[in-house]
Amino acid sequence: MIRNINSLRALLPRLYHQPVCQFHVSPVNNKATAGRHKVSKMLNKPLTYDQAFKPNFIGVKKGWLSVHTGNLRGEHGSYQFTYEDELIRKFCVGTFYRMLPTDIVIKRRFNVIEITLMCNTVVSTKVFFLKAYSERLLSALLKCHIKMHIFKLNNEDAIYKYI
Amino acid sequence: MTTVQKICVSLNMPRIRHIRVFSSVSSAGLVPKPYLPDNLMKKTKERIARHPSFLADTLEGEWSDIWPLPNQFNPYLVPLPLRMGHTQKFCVSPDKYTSVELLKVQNFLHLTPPAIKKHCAALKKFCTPFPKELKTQQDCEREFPVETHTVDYVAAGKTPRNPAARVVTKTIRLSNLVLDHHARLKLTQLAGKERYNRSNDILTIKVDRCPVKKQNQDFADYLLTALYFESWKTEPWESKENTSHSDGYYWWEDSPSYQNVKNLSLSWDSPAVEKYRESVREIKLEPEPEKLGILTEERKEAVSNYKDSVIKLLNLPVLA
Repeated sequence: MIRNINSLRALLPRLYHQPVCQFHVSPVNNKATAGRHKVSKMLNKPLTYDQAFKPNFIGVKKGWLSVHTGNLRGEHGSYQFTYEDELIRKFCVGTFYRMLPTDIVIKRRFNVIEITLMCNTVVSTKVFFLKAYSERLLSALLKCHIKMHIFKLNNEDAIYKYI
Repeated sequence: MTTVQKICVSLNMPRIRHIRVFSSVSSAGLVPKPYLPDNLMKKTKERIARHPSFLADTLEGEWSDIWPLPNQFNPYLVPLPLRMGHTQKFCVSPDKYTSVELLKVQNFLHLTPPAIKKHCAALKKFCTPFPKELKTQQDCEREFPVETHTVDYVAAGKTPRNPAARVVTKTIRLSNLVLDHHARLKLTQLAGKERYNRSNDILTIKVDRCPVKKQNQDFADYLLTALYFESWKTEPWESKENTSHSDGYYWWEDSPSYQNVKNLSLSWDSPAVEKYRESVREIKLEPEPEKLGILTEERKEAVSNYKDSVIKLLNLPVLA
């Protein structure tokens, strides 16, 4: 007896003993999971202002972290700028390792890229060296003028709410 | 609690009492409560706003000296007590030292009205006044009949080049050109329907075939001059015998119907003559029918128009 339709294949004649592979698929759950944080048991998980609001609040309660003209109608370079922004973000998180409580803001004005960071280090020599290093290296990588603005921010001050 | 008080004293802030604030850095096991009860929250907000670093009491020098160019928002330079951000329950919107939103947003602090006035005053010595003779649009058109339209594009990116910036459009009203009847007709025929607008009598030439804007401008100038001078020439194949009605050429002034109307001795401005002229032109310029021998709607309308116009012209009574 045929119990379910998946086993119908088994009844087909197998020529030259060809193997038949099947796999089981559970039903698809079309759930949006971007930018959402799970509520912790002790309610002690800190969130910054950016993390506290879901992505559908971009443009309403949140601003844009990268500002350029590539996404306007009839303008070129949207993919290029997005790719470069990803590179800048990964680079900055790596050079200022564990020193950035919030996200990085990237603005472009003609051929100048302005990167704004919030850094929680007190040692100013370290910060200045890293700033100069990243400016030099990024301008060599991206072939643009790079300007970095670094502000001091403690980890506790960056917290907006606990979840 | 004591550490909080000490910090208050050193910053010259009024003492904040009866606050229980725990940070996440405190000893493990304690549930952090960064929120303040509602009544205290309001008071502390007001007290913080009254701190001297937030007030713009004494500004050293002009604001345009401190912030001359478009610049990233610097909370240590801007003396305003700003807070940016949406508030949720028990959450404080971040102040200017901690807010990332203020950094994301474009600020126009370099464009305060006094700064703009300064700019304009500096630029004024390079400007001349607008000529007094050009008061109306008609004056401007009389002096400068050819209008050139070009677009420059500005965008972020490594190159300032934009391939759409090479397009040049030149417009001129044909009444500003010296054209007789034949020249005008020839020019409109040469230009084509897309370039000549009959309702406002404007000839538009759009050029984008060269890679550089200057080349396109020169080409547009060349086209205009060529059109003008070619329309004045009469080629041998342009004689009246060679022109057919399918080209749109029909001179009612040369036809026998014109002679007949002349004999009637009517004034030329009357609407009856105009209507007659239109209906005769319509019949003569009719396109070839697809199937012969069938009375189509258009032909029926043309014939009835002709009938009405003749009746009106000769002032005949209409039969019921």
